[in-house]
Amino acid sequence: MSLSGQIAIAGVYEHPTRWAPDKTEFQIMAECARGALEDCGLELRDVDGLFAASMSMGAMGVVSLAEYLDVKPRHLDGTNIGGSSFVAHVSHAAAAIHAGLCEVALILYGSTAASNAMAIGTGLGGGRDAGASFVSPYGLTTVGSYALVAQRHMHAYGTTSAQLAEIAVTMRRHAGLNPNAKMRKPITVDDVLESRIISRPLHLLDCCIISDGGGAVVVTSAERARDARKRPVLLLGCGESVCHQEVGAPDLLSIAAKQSGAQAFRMAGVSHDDVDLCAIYDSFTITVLVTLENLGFCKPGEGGAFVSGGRIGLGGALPLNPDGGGLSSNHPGMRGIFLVIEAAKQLRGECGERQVANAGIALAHGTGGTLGVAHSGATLILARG
Amino acid sequence: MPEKYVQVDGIATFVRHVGPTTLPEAPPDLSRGETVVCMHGAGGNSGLFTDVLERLGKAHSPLAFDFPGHARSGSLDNLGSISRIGAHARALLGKLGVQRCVLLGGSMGGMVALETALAAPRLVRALVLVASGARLAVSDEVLEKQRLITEGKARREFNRADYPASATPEMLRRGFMEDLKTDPRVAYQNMLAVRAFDRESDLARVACPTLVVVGEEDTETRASSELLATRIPGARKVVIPECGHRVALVAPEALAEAVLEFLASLPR
Repeated sequence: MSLSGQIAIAGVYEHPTRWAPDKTEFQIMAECARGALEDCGLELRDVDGLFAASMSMGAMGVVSLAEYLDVKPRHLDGTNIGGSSFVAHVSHAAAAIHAGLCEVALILYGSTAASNAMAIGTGLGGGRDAGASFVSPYGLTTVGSYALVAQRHMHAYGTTSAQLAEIAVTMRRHAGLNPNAKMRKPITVDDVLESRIISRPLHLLDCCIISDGGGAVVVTSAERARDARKRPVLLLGCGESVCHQEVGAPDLLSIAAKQSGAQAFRMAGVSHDDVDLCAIYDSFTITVLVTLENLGFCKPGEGGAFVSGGRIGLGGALPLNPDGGGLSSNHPGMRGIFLVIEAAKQLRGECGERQVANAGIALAHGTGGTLGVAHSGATLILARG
Repeated sequence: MPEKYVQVDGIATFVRHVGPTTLPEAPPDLSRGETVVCMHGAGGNSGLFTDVLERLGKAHSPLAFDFPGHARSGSLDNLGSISRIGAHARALLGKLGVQRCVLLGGSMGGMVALETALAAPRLVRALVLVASGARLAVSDEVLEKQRLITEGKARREFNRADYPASATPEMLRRGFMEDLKTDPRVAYQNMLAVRAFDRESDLARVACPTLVVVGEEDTETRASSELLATRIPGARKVVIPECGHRVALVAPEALAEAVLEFLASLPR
């Protein structure tokens, strides 16, 4: 029996902080755990599945985290596939709950990327794995690899910087409606185009911000979630994938979202037209554009036109990241968890000024790692319960 | 120095003691001399007492622990009030099999000790109140500043005024490093708890022998310490020269000496 519709997100919490020099990652995670458990009316002792990843947790980090939280889960998952990890954790948790390995899964993220002055985008891309030895010697940075994708898109389809800028401007407009967002002052397309080049063709304002922060998500069976404090959010479909084992192979513009999105849609049994809003990892403006194409919201090459004219803004046909995304609200290194949190809050209808009207179905897609080089994708399709 | 965690009402409570280590479920050996329980101040932790524990440990059974929310103890919060922090301390002592002990508390820890002596007089053989008071003022300005720190909107400052002019760089560094181990939010909650605490009118009811200790340069608790010494029946007071508010950190030798002398004077 498919797990579609059987599993629910019962509680979510996004830490309001964007600057926490006095806290550790684990402290932020613990505060988020408390918030998400309060959100659904459960307690730490109810948690029997623990899922986490972070910028500095090592291979056994989730073990230390369990000790820190003083919990003894019967199911542990420290999967780290980059910023998309937490989107994948939701599907892993769903599988574990469906299989009877745990009942209440707690997914955690915390980071002090900003107060630790972590150079996330300008650090070397490609990691330390085998394939990286063919990339790292040439000094490719994370932002550099995303810029390669943008260059290729412009070359192949004539996409313009102004079209990419539209995405950044929209995210900033959304952030203005989110009291916790880090960057709330409105910007224009010209502001983006006039900001300095970080890695051609990406400008400063094409890049996500760096903040501190964290979040937590509680996943349980749809049945148990019905007794929770808030309206449940049902998991309809999910998918994962990896792509680009070496630079651009086989194709810079075909990304992980293609496979993970297709699977999620197939499992959910819904069409693109059914999706009321998207939460898409916006590490850079180009990430959003190619993700929309690869998820199938538009054809390859049409992304530039698709994001123009207000379509992805609140009030548009496909509102995207109403919280302001990583480009303006928060980006503490690995943003996947906030995609899940914002999608869930929108489906519950508790987002105030930035609420998408009648949000019934949401798609969350996380990109992890370095687009253009090794990266992962994880997609969720969620529905109001 | 042996350390262990003791589960108290679901909170893993970090304890330091002297003598041999013991198995997880077994309490430390507290058979030697007096059991002296050391309680730290707001935002501090038991690590500030290590030198004092060593000195007292030669003839007695001292221990120190981190309050909930502080340093290595569990909980995200300080439990909310001095009386609740005191109830947690009593539950811890119950777990350790302590039926009667000397309570030594610094600053906010002194308030917890005082509260415990009033709430559970049979548990408390004697009190040592270090740089403390039955009521301590926390200004709105200080409180608001701390609130901003908890929200990441103001910087945590190093309070040099807590240390004497003669403090060595090592002392300042150690104090700074120890303070970093506690979340500023807990320090903020401590301020609220301290502000809400007032036992001035109950001091005459303190029935156990009491020693009041204060640093000569401690402007914060000089007057409140004097009040403790005057109002608690039979209380003695010791002023430590070249010492500010952080007595255990700056003057462990003088503090231990005063405590040892006090312990020797206790009725058998």
